[in-house]
Amino acid sequence: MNIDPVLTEIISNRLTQIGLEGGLVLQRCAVSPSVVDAKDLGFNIADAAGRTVVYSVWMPRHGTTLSYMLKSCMRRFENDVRPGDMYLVNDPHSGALHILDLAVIAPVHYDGELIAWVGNATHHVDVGAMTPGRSPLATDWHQEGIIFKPTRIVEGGMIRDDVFNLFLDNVRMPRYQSLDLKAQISANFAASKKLIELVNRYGLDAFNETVESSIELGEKQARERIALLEMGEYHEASYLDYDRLYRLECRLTVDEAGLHFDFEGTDPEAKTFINCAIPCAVANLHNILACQLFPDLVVNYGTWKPVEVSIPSGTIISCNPPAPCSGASTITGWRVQGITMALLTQALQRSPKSGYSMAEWGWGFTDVQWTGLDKGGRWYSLRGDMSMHGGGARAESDGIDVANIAGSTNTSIPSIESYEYRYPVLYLERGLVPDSEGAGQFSGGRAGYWARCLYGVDSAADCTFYIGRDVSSVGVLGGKDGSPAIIAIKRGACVLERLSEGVPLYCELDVEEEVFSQMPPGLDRVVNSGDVIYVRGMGGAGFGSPALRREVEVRRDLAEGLLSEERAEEVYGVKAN
Amino acid sequence: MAASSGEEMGGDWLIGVDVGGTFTDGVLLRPSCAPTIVKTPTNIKDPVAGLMGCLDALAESASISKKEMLALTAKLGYGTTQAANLVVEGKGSKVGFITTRGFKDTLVIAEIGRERIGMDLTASRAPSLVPRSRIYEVRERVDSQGRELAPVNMDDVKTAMDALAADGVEAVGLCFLWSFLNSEHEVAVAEALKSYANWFVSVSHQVAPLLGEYKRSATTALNARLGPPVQQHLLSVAQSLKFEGLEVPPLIMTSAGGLLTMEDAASKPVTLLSSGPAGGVLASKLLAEKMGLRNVLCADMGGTTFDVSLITDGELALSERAEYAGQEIFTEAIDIVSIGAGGGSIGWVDHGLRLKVGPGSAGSDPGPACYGQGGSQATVTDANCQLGRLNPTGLAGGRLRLDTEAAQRVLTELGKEVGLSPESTAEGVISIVDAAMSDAIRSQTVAKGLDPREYALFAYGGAAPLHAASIASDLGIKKVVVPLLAPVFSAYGIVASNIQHVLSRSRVVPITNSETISSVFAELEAGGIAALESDGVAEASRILVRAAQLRFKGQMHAVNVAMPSGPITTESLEVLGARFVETYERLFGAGTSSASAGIEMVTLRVYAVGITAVPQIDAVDASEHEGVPTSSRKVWFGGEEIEVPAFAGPLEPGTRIYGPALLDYPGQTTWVPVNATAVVDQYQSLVMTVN
Repeated sequence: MNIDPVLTEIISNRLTQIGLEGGLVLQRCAVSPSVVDAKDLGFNIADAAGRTVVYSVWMPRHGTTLSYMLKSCMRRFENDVRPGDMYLVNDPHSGALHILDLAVIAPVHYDGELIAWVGNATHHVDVGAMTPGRSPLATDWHQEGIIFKPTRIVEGGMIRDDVFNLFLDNVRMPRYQSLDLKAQISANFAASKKLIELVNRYGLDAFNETVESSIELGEKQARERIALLEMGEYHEASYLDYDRLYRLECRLTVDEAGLHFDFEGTDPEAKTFINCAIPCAVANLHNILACQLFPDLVVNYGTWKPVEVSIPSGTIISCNPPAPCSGASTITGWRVQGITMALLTQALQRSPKSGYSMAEWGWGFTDVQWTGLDKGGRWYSLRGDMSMHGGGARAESDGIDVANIAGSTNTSIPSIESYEYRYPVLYLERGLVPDSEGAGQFSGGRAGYWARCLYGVDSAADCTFYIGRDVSSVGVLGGKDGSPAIIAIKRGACVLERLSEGVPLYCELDVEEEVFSQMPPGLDRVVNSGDVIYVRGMGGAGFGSPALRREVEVRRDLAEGLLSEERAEEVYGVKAN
Repeated sequence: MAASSGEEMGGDWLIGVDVGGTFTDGVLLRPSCAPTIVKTPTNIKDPVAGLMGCLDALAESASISKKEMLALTAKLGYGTTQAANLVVEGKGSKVGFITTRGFKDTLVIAEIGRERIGMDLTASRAPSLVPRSRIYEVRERVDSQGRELAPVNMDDVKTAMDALAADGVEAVGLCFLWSFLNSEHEVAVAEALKSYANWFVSVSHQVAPLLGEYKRSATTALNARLGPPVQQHLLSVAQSLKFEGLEVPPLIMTSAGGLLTMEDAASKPVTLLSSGPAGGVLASKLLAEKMGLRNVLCADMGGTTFDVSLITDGELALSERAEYAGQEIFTEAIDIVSIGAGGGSIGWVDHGLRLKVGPGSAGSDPGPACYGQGGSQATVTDANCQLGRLNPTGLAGGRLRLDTEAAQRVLTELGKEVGLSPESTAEGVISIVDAAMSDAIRSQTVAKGLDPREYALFAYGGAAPLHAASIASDLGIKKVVVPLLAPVFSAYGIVASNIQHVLSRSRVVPITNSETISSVFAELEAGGIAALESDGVAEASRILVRAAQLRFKGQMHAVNVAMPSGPITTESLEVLGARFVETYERLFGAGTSSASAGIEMVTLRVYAVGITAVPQIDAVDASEHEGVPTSSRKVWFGGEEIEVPAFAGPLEPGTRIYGPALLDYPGQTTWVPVNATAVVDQYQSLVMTVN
């Protein structure tokens, strides 16, 4: 094909713009903090054959899961894809990251001919499982909420009320979630309309030519970057803790064909919700490739051509029904990110891009789930402040203090004021934890923490769980591991009665501390007014030996209160003046 | 153009000065005289001397001494990039910060803010605006209803002040949780700070009384950092001008598009961050009003950026947040979106497949190859040169001669990589950059439910008039306007503005709560009146305008809705709610609203405007006649070379020109394509009709 270097560039920029605009519509119309504040969403554009050309402009991993879900829609509606259709999907085995991530996918027709697909995914606060949100106590996937394999939710350009209401009738916060789901549909309408205008303007041939050359460019750029890595085989094992310890194992082969990840040796699927299905595992692997190896490159269908992933069936990262897997996205999913990063770091070590190598980022998941009915008799679900982990140290710089997960590049935490306005809660503290970094020539980022109590209600059901209490982030080249996560509670602290003397800090509450187990003991745990919960993320791991850290940097950390005098001397060998 | 009859002392001349990065633009407007415009070099080291240099040049052009000129001046408006430069360079005063105990890391964590860092895992967060070692905590607490839970512990305050004094800070920022609902604790601590030392004190409930402690803290901290140097600069500008003979208090442009006295601005320097660019948008608004245009796209293209802002239904587009120094801050500003597309943007080829333009820029040093200063990469300006569209003698006011051979050379090299001739490569570069600018406009219009075809495109800044016609035709825009004062449009906009105080307050309440809404507006309006009073604005010249941000309960994003004046009642709020639903569905699509969720008010705002002497834009007689070209140039267009008539401006009002044509004015060239017609209108703007 004779590619027009000017027209295809113009159309390609326009396509990116349309993807962005679709995501913006979703963000502006949605109400849930996960969409609006944490920007946990993706928006894709693919060609008629389902090849993604605009890859999630927001959170990268949604780009891959949306591609999987599009393929599932194409299979299910093979000969029945009609103009004005949209399909709802949240089945993890059809491609969803986990059951709480709902996707709406729409074919785009031009003169009756299918020319493209658009789709978006975002996290919903509830899908009607045995407990709100994720189901840390589920034993099979039917307990985890309502499942949509590709289901027609928009027909002839009109929302199907029966399907829309089926969803709302099955979730706990229909008021908010109806706005979120409508926002997803609006986003597709907006993007489809613009795609049609684009094709009207430049013609279908030019559109197809652009898709073709964009994919070619994606592949060329990826291959060129991969060729910089040192060829060979790399091995890594990593662990995660919940009801027990689980092991992931992976071999990376770098050769002329590209990258080949093989997860042979990974533990068989668990009886708990920590599992994930293959699409979630691959999406998280792609996510790290996009951010660590290809941060400056075009990412689309072509990018993944030189990347092969093999996962034996029935492991914790390739589970089959009826294994529970609602924790997937943030548990095994994030663990796949960690192992991918460790393998790339090995392969980058002696490459011209060694600056991209890094120690492990905080990777666990701390999910406080307090739910109940407010005074108006409506459900509220009070979640945690994301996972306040430190970033891993990089080959040429310290890790980011309180960075959240490596691959969650769009995340932010809501302000305390917006939490206290929306929910019956009062914060005592939120900050970073000195001395929590993995020491190193470049130190890991520090963990964050917060402490809060109920405010305005007497009690709430407490289904809090977490991952990462017993396993830390791992240092590289002599760098030390970061500190692990913890969730603890001080019950009967009667904090509300003591406020007038000044709000106490968590450490000043002189009642016994109870450290939570990672898995909740049952469905009947409650938290009462006056109890204070303390949640701390993981510290990022260090890069290079702490003995090599420059004294001036140790002294700066001391002055900033990020490092105690004892630790400065003990770990870095620097005496405070 | 002439000044309105000045009742103020001093006379009736008006002066606007806009200090940019490279040039300082000045405009002097006198009754029944043509406007005097000058461009003088910006003096970064001594900005007051730079300002005086510009005034000297204006006086010289008007054949009068500076002292006499200033004595005759009724109003002097000033715009400066000083505050923005301090931010870009990471400079400013030494700041300490005081906050609620338990939350000292609010500024450090910065809401995590990974989206501000980007996707690259080697990137880092911008450093805290105040080093952690100079952030102090005080025991106190207010809840989300504004109720006091714990009083201010004055011992903690004393400890913090002693430590700040020992640190040797020059400015102190103060932000407590929920202070915008209950400011008593901040007021008490601010008083203590002021009586303790001669610090610049920046207090969150005054700087940004809005919900969200990180953004409020960041705004307060940045304000503190800018405080001392900006205060010093503004007061020395005021003193020098007075010394040189100005009898009226000079006024300065804010990001929100209004003027403030130097004293007011000095206490809130964070409002000056886009002082300059706001001027051009305001100038567009005034000219558009004269021309009877309600919808205008303001497009400013210079050497490195293309800035777009909208005027819709006669109203400026405003935003309340912006990113500075890697932090998200609250600042009421004219919403100007900037992309990296300018005359200096560099063309390159990606893997032999795609011709691309930018984001790299040749800047002004070495600049485009055709400037003959050693630039070796093909830029947008080189492409314009290659196509024959530039004035061969008049670049940068005749200071630069075009090196057409250099342009040809770099475009030939670039073209080889994709198998295109230098001319086709140049046309490619231009169409890509034009499309990128169109996309920037789409993101401001189509993405927000607005139709660009309903707008006129105002083109100003050195490079915009060459590209405006192509952008317009891409977007289906029919009318392009190149104002007479385009090269100094911001300076003109600055002097043409009025005094404006923006008072805002977050108060999340259902819109059924007329009592609270009414009392907050009353409070804001009383503050506005007091501010205008102290500016010496007469009662008859005061205007108060209300605005409200509404959303469905639970949403995070709110939509601006104009709020009628008069008593606030349940009925008037119902009307407001209906207007919100209408606006919402227009923005996001029919059926997307969800009235059952309930509507709440988030931010209430009052604009307190003081009318000042502004230039009158007088129509002149413009009987139509066909223009006579002064020369011709060979221009490459649509794959072939054509002979295009060139006209040397300024042209007489009424002059009509048929495209293709080139209009050379000092400092800019306008391209009138085939099938377009341009007429110099009664305000001496070039009005182009594009088909």
